[in-house]
Amino acid sequence: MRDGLELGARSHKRRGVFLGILVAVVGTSAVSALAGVSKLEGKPGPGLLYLLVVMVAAAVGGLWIGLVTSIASFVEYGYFFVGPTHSFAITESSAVGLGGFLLAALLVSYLLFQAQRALAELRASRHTLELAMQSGAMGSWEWRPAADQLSLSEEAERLLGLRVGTFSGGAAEFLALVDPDDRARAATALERASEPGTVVAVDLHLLRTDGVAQWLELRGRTVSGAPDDVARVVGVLVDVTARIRREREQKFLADGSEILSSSPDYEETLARVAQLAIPALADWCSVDLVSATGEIENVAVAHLDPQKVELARRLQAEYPPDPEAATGIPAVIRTGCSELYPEITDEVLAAVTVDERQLGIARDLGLRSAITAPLTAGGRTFGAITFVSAESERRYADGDLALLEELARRAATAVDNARLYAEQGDARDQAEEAWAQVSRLQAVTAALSEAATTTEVAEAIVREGLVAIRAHAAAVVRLGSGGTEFEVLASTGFPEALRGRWSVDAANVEGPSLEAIRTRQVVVVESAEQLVSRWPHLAEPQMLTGLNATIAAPLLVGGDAMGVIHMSFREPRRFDAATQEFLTTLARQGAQALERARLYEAEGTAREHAERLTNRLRRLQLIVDATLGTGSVDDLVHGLLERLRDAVGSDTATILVLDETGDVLRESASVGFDGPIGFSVPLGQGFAGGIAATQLPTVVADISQIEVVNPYLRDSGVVSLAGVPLLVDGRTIGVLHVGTKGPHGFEREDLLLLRLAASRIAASLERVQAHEQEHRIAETLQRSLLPSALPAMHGIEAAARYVPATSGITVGGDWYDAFALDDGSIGIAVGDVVGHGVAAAATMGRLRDVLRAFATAGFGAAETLASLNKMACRDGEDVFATVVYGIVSPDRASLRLASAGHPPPLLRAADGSVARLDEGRSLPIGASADAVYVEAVVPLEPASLMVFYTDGLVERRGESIDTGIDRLASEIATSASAVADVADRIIDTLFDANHTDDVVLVAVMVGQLRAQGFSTQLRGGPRSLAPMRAELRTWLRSVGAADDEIFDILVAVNEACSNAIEHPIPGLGAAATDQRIVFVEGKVVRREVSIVVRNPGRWKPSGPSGDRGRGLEFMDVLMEGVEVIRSPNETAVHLRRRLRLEVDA
Amino acid sequence: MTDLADLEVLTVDDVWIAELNGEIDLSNADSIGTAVELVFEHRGKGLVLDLTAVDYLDSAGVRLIYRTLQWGGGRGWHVRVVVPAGSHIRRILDLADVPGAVRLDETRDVAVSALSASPTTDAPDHLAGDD
Repeated sequence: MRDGLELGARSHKRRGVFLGILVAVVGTSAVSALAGVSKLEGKPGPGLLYLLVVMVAAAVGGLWIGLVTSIASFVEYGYFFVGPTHSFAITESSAVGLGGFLLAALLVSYLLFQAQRALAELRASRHTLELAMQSGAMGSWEWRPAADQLSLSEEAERLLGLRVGTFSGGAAEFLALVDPDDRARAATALERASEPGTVVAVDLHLLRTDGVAQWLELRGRTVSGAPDDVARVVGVLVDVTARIRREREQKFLADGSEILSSSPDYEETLARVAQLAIPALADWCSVDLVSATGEIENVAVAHLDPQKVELARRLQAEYPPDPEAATGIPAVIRTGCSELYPEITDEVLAAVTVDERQLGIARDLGLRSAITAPLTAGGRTFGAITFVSAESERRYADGDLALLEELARRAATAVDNARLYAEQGDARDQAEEAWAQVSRLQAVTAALSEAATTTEVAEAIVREGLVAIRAHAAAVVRLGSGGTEFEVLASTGFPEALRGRWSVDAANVEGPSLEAIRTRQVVVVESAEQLVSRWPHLAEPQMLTGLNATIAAPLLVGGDAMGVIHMSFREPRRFDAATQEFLTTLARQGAQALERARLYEAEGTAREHAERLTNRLRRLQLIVDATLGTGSVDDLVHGLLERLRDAVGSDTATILVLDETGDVLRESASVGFDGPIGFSVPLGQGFAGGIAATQLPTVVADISQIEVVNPYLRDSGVVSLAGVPLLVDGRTIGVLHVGTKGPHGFEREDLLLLRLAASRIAASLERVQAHEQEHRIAETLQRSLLPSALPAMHGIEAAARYVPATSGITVGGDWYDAFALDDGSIGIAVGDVVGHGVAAAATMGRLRDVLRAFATAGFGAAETLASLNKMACRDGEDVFATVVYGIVSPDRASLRLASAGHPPPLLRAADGSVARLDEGRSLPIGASADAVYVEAVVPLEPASLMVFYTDGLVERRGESIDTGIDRLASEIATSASAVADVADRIIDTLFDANHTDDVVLVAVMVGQLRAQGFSTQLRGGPRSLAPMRAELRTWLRSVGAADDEIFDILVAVNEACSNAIEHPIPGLGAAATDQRIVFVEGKVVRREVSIVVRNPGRWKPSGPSGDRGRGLEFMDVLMEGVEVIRSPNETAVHLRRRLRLEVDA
Repeated sequence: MTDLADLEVLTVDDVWIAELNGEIDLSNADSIGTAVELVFEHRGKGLVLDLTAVDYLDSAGVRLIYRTLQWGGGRGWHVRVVVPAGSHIRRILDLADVPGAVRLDETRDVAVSALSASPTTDAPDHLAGDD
């Protein structure tokens, strides 16, 4: 169209150029010819003619033709008219005229060109308008408001569905053609268009008389004429139906999509979509879906008139669609292809209806046109959507079907999604339900595991069960241990009257619970009617409770029903598999928890029982242990019986002991009887005799029914008796029995306690008896080991006493010994072996022998103890003893004393003063293998009294041993002079009658005799050394020492003396060395020279370094034994050297 | 000196000889030592301590020997001690490890001839007027 227009314009243009050239040539030639003929020289006339020619040429030929013509005219005009005669000689005036001419000609050409172009454009646009109007898409209108006269072009009339030339009238008539809804807007638009300068544009809907819906755009504006004349409004009508429709359809689809996606309930959304379609797109809209069973179900019917909707529903119910129908919705669903019925003819109706009635109704509905599109998703057609027109008399065309198909496509997707969503939803619901159930079970498990007692478990079951299955009442009932009664452990929601214990035999127990127990299955009662029909007697309780449905699950433990969980509901209800399963699980877990709690409680009871028993036994044991210490069998037994009576709760308790003959039980002790009873029972006779013979624990509830030998039993009013044998290694040693005076009786537990007590008592008795026996043996042994009498010893008088412990339980290891040594000295030893009994006595014997062996071999006091200790500390020895060993010098002037942890001997001087001999003390024998033993030299005066003893003499319970020693000392101070008398008096006075330890006492009186030995004193410091050496040399020579031996000993003794003189002594200045006294004493025992250098004060020999230390070194080398014994107020150096046997000596 | 022991001093070939008799103990050892130091002149080849005639000697005597050694060494003298083999004194000296510190000779002649080979030395000036 547009191309044609341009082509036409171009040919027109070419024709103009040709004409222009023609005009220019002819015109200019004509003017020139005219000028030549008429002689127009010097006049302006020819110039105007030329201009006229230029104008025409330009108008006809265009701009360029005009220009060329102008130039040609200019040349000709100048040649013919301006020059003097046809020459180009130009005068001043003629030049101005020529220039003006040229300008005028050019201007004319340009203006003509512009005018010509505008004219061409106008022509083209008009042409276009005409073409548009002719196509029917646009029409023009004109309205004269003053006269209200409106005229329409032919095209406008056609657009409005009018026949050409039929419209006449004003605005009202025009507006009547418009849809009523749009009339107001159209009127407003016209009003506004009549206002000067206003342009209006409005879309108007109208339904043409031929039934075609039409949308027109009305545009208009005032055409201005004279200022006061606003008489005319002109405009166009444009058909915008296609655009509006497209917009409407798009909106419909968008709205439909939104509705479809608004909810997963696709039946509801499809109904809303159907509603959306009316009335714009259809008078009827229906949606049909294939159900799960394959039937076609109408899910939505829409019409503006609800009555017609109802009618349609009834019709569909009455005439269900035939799935196999050849046409219509079933066919569309079946084939998946759309159907279009532009015109619903009677034939069509007949084809789709079943009978006359249906056909009649269809006819009455006035159905005009219909389209149906399938709902297809995933290649499957599951429904159809149908538009039907009736009242609107609308005819559907392909475009409508396309819209419907698009709608159907979207609806199908939405439905598919919704169904998927629904399936997912179902799965989610199932998962949630399963999860909830798991959660409930977890809660149940947790609650049950926290419950410790039976009641707590039952309450947890009730609580959790109620919540989980939303029951109104719940109870946990346990079958009694005998299986004959019920016990409600926990209950909620049931009337009080139904709680408590009741017998299984009672008729009212028959019901769901008992059945659940009997069958071991879950019993379900869905309603009160069911309940009463099965258990008529429960009608009344049911009325009472108002409970309806019931479910009961047995509590199974190891296959046996121990009880039942009972849950009831106010309303009838079914119990689905999940609920039953839950209750079964609850019952299983509950049963386990109940069993666990029961066991726990039983264990708790047993433990409590055991603890009570243990406590009672512990009290008995304490008695046994305590009485063992005091020794007496009688005390032991009596104490035991007192406590046993309390423990058992009896009135009397008696122990009978089988005597040595083994034929008679003698009463050993009794409590609970008035006064002493002493009696015997022959073995095998009476209550106790029978128990002793048969060893059977016996309980007699009433002693009047049996033979009782002991008359005191009856007399004392004892009614019940319980007795057990006292057994040691399966041997009967006696009988223990307890009695009550009331009808108390004894239980199994009492008998058990009695038996345990009996075993304790038997063991204790046995032990005490064994002790007594051992004591006798030990005492015999000890006495046999001790010297029967001390040997007569030159220069001293001695007496010894041994007193065994009086209580008789223990025999200690105390011993004493006194013996003369070869050199004329006398050894005295007193010791105490730790321990008691035969073993201690034996150890004592060994120690005594060993000590004597060392002593007679010439060992010094400390050396003897050291040797004894070495022996005692050997592997395998288990000796621990205190020993004091003293050697009275041959001259009886001194005592060398060593003590291994023993109480200090006492020395009574001639003046009667008594001193403790605390010097020379070391560790007890057997205490440490590394112990060093020292000895002290005690000067003895004639008539001195020494007392050696063991701790048994001075130790008293609750008293310091010093107190005892002081007591002994004061006793000694005032004693007689004869040692035997002294010893006897000490024993008589000090020995405690209840003393549990044995006692040894040795008293020694020093005589006048002096033995041959060396003794000198150094006074005056170093100067006295040489005289001492001279004296010593003489003495050594006299005892047979060789010269080298004498020299060695002299050096050694001299070194010792030098040390004694030289070493600084605290409290004494160096200047005082001359005032010191050093004692040097020598003796020879079996050729061994012993020399003691001692001096008051305490000094420490230097080590080997330095000149001073060399002295000690010399002593060590030159002598065989060097011992420095320091006491607080004296330091003594003991030097020993065994002399060689000189053949010539 | 003391009645316990005698000290005789003589010189042979510029060798000083201290001959001790009797017993040496705590009571006289120090005074003997002092006497030796006082008696000897400051010029000579060495000193011989002759203990051949000593009847008794203990740690105090040993101390005396060491003191004399130190004293002799101080003036550059060689000191030798004469003790008969097998004597009691020798045993004591052995015990005190004296042979490790000073040469023991069995006779005075041996000791003197050994020392006479040495050059005669003067005591250092600062010691000359000591006592």
